[in-house]
Amino acid sequence: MIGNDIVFLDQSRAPNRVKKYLHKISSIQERNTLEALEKKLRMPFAWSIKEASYKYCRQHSKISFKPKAFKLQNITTIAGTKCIQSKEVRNKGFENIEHKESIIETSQYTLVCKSIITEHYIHSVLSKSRDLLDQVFWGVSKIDTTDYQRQSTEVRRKAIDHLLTIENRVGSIFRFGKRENNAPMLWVNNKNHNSNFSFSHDHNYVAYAWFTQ
Amino acid sequence: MKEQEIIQKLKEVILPYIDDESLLDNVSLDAHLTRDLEINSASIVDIVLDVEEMFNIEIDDDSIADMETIGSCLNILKNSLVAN
Repeated sequence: MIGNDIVFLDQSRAPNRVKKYLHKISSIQERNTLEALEKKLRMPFAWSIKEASYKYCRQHSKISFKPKAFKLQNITTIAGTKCIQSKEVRNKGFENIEHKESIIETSQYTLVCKSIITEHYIHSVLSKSRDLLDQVFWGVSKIDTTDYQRQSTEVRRKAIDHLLTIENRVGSIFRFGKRENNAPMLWVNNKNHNSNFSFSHDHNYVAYAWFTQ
Repeated sequence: MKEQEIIQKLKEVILPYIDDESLLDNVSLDAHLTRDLEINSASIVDIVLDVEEMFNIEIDDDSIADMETIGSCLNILKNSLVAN
């Protein structure tokens, strides 16, 4: 299982609002850990990893989103030769990509999260192990709409476009549905693709992540 | 404060966070903030902070998770107003 989340780096919140927001979603210990990041990144980073954690955990059990229940333990900077800046990104894993790696504790799991940070957004992908994250295909795109339904359609289309570069499935019929646990599920020619997908969108950005079992 | 008054104020708080204002017309208590009103999940915390300021109350961390529908927000607000 995986979870992902993208957060647009919205600079419109007043500093006092950012501070209150961060206090609502994080403990004092977590805020100390977040000091490893630039101030403007702390709140969106915290949200991104916690939302990705929630998307992961809700696939295993029916839970509501309590941000403080997903506890950030540490943040490590992983150096890389590739620095993501493009508005259209496609990748597998995070090798050679500069990113932040963090550990998140929940009441049931210890999770690993990898986050890329650009000038415009933070995109986080999370799972139980680093090995699995190396196998995850993911992408981020800037699109021309903030309309919720169109974003939802576009992010699925982008994921299919990416999948078509990896698997020879030209002419196939793709259809996304939802599992009982609310996770997206892909059908190809009415056959379960056996992949675990996660989608997210914020402002003009959409992001997906998936791995095939 | 009457229930209708609370709902009206809640709608005022929510309005800046939705793209399609018409979604608030005749909104039902069952309307889900993210699924039906298409509010970005990250904006839910902003709504909580706005509600706290507007009603001069504090919403506890556990209740944030329950702010999923207009009806659940209304219940949390009513309880918080009584507690405060």
